[in-house]
Amino acid sequence: MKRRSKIFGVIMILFMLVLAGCQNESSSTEAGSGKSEEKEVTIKLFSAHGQFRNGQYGYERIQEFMKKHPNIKVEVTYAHGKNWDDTFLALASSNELPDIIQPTGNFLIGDLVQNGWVQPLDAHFDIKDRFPNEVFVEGVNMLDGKIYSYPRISPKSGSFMLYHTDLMEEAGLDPASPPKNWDELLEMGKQVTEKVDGVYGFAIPLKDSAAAHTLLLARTLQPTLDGEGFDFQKGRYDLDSENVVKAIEFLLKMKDAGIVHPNSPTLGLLDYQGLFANKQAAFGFNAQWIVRVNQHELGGVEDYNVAEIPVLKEGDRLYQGVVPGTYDAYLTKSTKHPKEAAELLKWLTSKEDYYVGQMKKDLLLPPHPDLIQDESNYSSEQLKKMAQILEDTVVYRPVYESNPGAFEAKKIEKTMAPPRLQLNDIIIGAYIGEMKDWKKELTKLNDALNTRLDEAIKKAAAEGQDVSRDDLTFPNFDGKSNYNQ
Amino acid sequence: MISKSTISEQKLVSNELERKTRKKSGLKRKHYMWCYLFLAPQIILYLTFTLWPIIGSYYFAFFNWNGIGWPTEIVGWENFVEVLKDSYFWNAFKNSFVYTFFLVIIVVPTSLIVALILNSPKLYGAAFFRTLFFLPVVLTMSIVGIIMQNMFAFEGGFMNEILLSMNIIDDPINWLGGPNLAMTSVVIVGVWKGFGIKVIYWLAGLQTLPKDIYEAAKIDGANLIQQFVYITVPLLIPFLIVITFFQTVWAFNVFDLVKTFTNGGPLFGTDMVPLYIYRYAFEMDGGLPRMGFASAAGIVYGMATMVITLILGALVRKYGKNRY
Amino acid sequence: MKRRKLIRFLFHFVFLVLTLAWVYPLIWTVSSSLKTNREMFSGSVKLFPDKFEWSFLLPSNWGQLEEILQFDNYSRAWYIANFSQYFINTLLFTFAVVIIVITLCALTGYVLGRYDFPGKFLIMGAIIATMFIPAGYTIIPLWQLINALGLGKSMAGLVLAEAGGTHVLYILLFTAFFSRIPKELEEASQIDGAGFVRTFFTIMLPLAKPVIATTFILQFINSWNSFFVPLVFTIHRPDLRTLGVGMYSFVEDNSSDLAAMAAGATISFIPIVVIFLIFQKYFVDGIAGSVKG
Repeated sequence: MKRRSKIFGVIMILFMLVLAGCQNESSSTEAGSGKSEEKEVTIKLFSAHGQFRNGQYGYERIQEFMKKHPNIKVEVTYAHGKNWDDTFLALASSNELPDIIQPTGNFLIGDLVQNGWVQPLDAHFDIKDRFPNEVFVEGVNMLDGKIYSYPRISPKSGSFMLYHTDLMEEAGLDPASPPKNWDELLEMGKQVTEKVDGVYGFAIPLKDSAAAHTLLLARTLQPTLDGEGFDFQKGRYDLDSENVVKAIEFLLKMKDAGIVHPNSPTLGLLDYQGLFANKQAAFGFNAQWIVRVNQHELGGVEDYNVAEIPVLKEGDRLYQGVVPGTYDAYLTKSTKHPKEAAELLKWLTSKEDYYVGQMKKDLLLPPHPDLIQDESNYSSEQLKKMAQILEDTVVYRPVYESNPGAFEAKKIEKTMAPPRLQLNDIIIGAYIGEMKDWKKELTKLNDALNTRLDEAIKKAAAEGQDVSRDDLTFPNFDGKSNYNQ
Repeated sequence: MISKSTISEQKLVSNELERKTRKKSGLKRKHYMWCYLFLAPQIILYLTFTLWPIIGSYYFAFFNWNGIGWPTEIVGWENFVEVLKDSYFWNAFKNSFVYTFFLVIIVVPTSLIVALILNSPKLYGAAFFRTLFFLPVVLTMSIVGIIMQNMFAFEGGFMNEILLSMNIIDDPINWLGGPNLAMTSVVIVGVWKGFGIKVIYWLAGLQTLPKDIYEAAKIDGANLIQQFVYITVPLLIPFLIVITFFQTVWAFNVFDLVKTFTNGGPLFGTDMVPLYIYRYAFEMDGGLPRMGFASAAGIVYGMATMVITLILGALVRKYGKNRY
Repeated sequence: MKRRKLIRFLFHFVFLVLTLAWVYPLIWTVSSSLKTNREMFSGSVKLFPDKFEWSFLLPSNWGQLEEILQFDNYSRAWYIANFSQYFINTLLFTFAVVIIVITLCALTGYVLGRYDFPGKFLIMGAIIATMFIPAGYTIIPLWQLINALGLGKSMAGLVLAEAGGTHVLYILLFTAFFSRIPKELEEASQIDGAGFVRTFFTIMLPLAKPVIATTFILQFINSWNSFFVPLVFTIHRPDLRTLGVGMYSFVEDNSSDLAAMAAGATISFIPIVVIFLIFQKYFVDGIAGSVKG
């Protein structure tokens, strides 16, 4: 009996080993069969974007690319967020950078160029002709007039309210008219909570997005505020403004009314997306890629729609300030096959071979206005509505990044230790009732952030940069219309 | 003449003796050599992987250092002063002690009760029950933390569903929603995870009890409770101390569980010192790591826990000796 | 008499329910790994999938059972979430650590248990002292050391970091065991002409099988479940992650895929539970030994 169980254990482990081995083997034979007359070249791509994950749209397109170019083999590696950052730094420090990188938001063009990690694209192919001219922005994807990267997703991006039409119907509400203002959100949330069993009116991922979601509410009142609480008109952080206070108070009001999903304090953004997709709450906020996530990563969510973020009173509206360009892939300086890598980048920046499919199949808006305007490219109602809202409410904010001094100061600011108690913590503290004087903490945090920025500016100036607070202050920017110098 | 021969004879004898001892010490030297050779790997690893990290951690504590390259910016006692002045450190410190305290006072007696039940000859399937109690011990703590997040969820979590269905509570509890409840949850999971091993300790202890004393007590008319209070408990005191010692050391160093279960939240309510240190060393949100500061915090915490460990250790040695 | 029997029966019943509740999280994990995500979000406590009927358990209905059980979760965890890689890493890591630890502790324990030599007390004292010296944050110098050896980005570095410390308990177990072996055995082998090394390997080590088994199982479970060292040492190397760390990063990246999470957890649990059940006796002996000794 004993011996038998031992044998069973050994067999089990062997079995799992074989299974694991099988996978490796199959991938190695694949590599072997790709041999052709031409010399095979391997291009490594390291991506931080879910689109390039095993089985997703970008990944599929790359398989297609390999079929068309049998001499080029592309190895795609995906890592998420901090994992990407850490791995990238390790690779960089040991001079093993892949040929093409798609970094997270933590690596800006200045760092990448200064460290000698990346090289301009325009030396290798006609990158400039592939996009509308406005998407190339100095300090974002261009430096000293040279193009280093390009946008994959439309620069006009922003956040929305999502709502489940079927849950509204079940609660006796009209799904054609979702809540437009805070009072309606509260009222309808109450209805859903009362009438639909086990479902709550509202959910919010407090664990990692308390600040971002609350600021969305505050920004309907103060359009010059950005997603981190920096006011471009005033040129300083404004986290203790009455508008932020009002937004937090409204969140507390919803909580006290019992309409916020009780798991909210422990929800991260990803948990929240899962919870929302599985219809545990009727209303919630999210950004535009949620349409894609709902469709491809959460198994096809049905009966939901999008609307603008509710406002306090008539006349308010959430305007979202963006930079007219974004960045995506970079070609590394150390690549040994720039020609083949450029070939791949041409494929990834092709309207026909990539962007149309991205919009139709992967439900992400491309950086081409003509594609966005073409009705035939929409396979999702939600995406169409979203594109309309973005068209109406996204404005171009001042691009301080183009000013080297301001850019350097902001970069230094990011490397300095952040205040211990961050906006997220304060909102959670207020929400769970453990921080009675949260308004005082807001002021403390705001002062600390402004002091930190001042110090960063001083440090940048000490490095010889010509920079002051004025370079981050834009009195003419009203947040509701594009900024013109 | 005579004397001469005697001398040479003596010389001979002494030569013989010398040779003998030389041979013996040669043998001994040879076996010393083997001893040291056998010990060499352990000694090398001890010096490099045990001693050096301890010394290094003290050395680095005096630097302001982000972990890149070798530290150069010496700051003296500044890191220690900052640790001692930091209210977040003391919060984590308090939490660590609260966690340890509750873990010890809950686990030590209850695991004894279960051990007594398992040790009873009237129980069928003791081995089966013992295995079930033990299973959580062999599970990976980090994975337990992740699973427990679901068990302790407000909506649809196991804890709430079972307590509701047994009518112990009327409304679901938001286990992870507030600092105190979250700490309670961490304690519950900590108890669950380490319980089995303490049961085994107690069982080992119970098996050392001499049976004849109980026979004698029975003849003297002592009932079960009297037997337990007057015989079992006094005999088990050495085990009580050892088990308390292990449990305390284990609880002071809890990291995996809080990292994966609550990550110190909400609002630092379950932040414990090992997690606090880790954040400074490896997870500086945006800013650069502060290795020197992390080391200083580790030393301060190490000193504090050492006091308790030493007291318990002394007790262990004292009672350990009395036993034999 | 009858009442007593009834009480005894009731007691067993209650105790059984209690112990089953005790291992419920495990059962839940396995059952969740076969459900859809939707089912998990709505009423995750239920053990069986919504469409499950008892009649499915009849052999003739196994086809239906197969349809409602989501084995797909396992393939997502195994292939897409990289658990195959984590699994191999964990096996390599665990076995390497266990072999190093057993070798080290057996050699040390043998010499300390059977021979007198200058410096013995110093060594013994140094080993035991490590239990009581308050360390600062030792992972930082350890990290430096491994990098200085050029092993910072390899499985070897990870193994050394885990195995390199001083394993006081095992050394004491080996020491105590070897010191109890009668002198005659050794003398007999010396008369046969066996030297120091041969005596150890042919006579002593085979005798120490129970201690080796105990060390094996204790360290196996320890390394399999190790989290902190692999977490720190694979921060820059996702491809070296072990199951515990891999699971953690999986949840950070994909926490909406609860079903695949449960499948991953099951993959991590099963081997260690099987190993534990096989070696249970040695495990219990080892733990009991540590408290008695």
